[in-house]
Amino acid sequence: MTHLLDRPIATGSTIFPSARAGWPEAQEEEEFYLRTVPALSERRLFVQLLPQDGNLRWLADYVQSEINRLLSLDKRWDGHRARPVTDEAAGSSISIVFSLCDEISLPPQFFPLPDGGVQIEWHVAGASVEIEVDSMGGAHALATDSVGSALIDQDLDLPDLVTLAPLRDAVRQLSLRVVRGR
Amino acid sequence: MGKPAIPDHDRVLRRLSDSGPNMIAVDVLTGDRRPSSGAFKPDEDGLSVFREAVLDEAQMTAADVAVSPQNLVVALSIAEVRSIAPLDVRDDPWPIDVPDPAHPRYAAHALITGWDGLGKGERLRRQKQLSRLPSLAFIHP
Repeated sequence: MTHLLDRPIATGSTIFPSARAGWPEAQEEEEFYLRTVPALSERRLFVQLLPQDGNLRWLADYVQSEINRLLSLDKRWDGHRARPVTDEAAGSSISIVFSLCDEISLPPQFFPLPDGGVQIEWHVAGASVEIEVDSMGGAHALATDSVGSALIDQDLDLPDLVTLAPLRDAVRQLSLRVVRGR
Repeated sequence: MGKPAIPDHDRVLRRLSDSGPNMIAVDVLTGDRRPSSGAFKPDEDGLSVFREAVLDEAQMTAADVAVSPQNLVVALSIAEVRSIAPLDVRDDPWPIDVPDPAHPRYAAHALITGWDGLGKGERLRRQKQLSRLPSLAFIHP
């Protein structure tokens, strides 16, 4: 899986920018390329699956929709001092979800954070996994059982899949609980 | 004589943003709906709230705390907030860095403080505790 923002993020990534209004005149090219950035509310992100992602198109579509909803929020979206969700937070959020989820995983809930970050949450029968992604893309996870005792409380070191293993198991256990509980 | 402490029996009101659809997390098995703990993430000076008693005195209600029709407002017992050490509540009337600083609601503005020095995990746990306080009540709309 890779996530694609309005600007190149990695060599070889395919970029699908939001449509710009008209093509710039030749004399304006330098200005266009050096200075033109989409307004925050126009940012769009596209999630493209890689072969190793398997059959997760449903998750890619869902995550793409949710993250773009958060990216469309302007500053002060909370009626107070909130900053817009950053590209870094959006990108890390996608990487984290695809590192934790598989075909049976529950889709997480996404929330914006006032510092420009994103919060990712799963809640099942009182137990939960909550991941706070800050505006720079750093993440911290808290998993609790149904009485609120912490099971996992750790910084996430992307893309180190070993450190993500306990969290991936926690998400899987919550998902299995739903599959069996219905 | 110092300023009297904010009494335990007061409540504070917290506006939940209309970030579309909202800041409500749903338990997929029980259907229980609670604010996301992210709705209680403090900024540099604390977590912005409004004192219900001061709003009452000025003949305002939870509806005056909302800034758009989609806003939800929840109430929390100050005693329960203080039970989450080291959190506390202090007055912060008339903050300046807000979109509408002259609105009368800001006479009741206060902050949930005590976040300084907490690690990320400690802060997240307290946010989660706030979101699960027994006294938490949706009072608007």
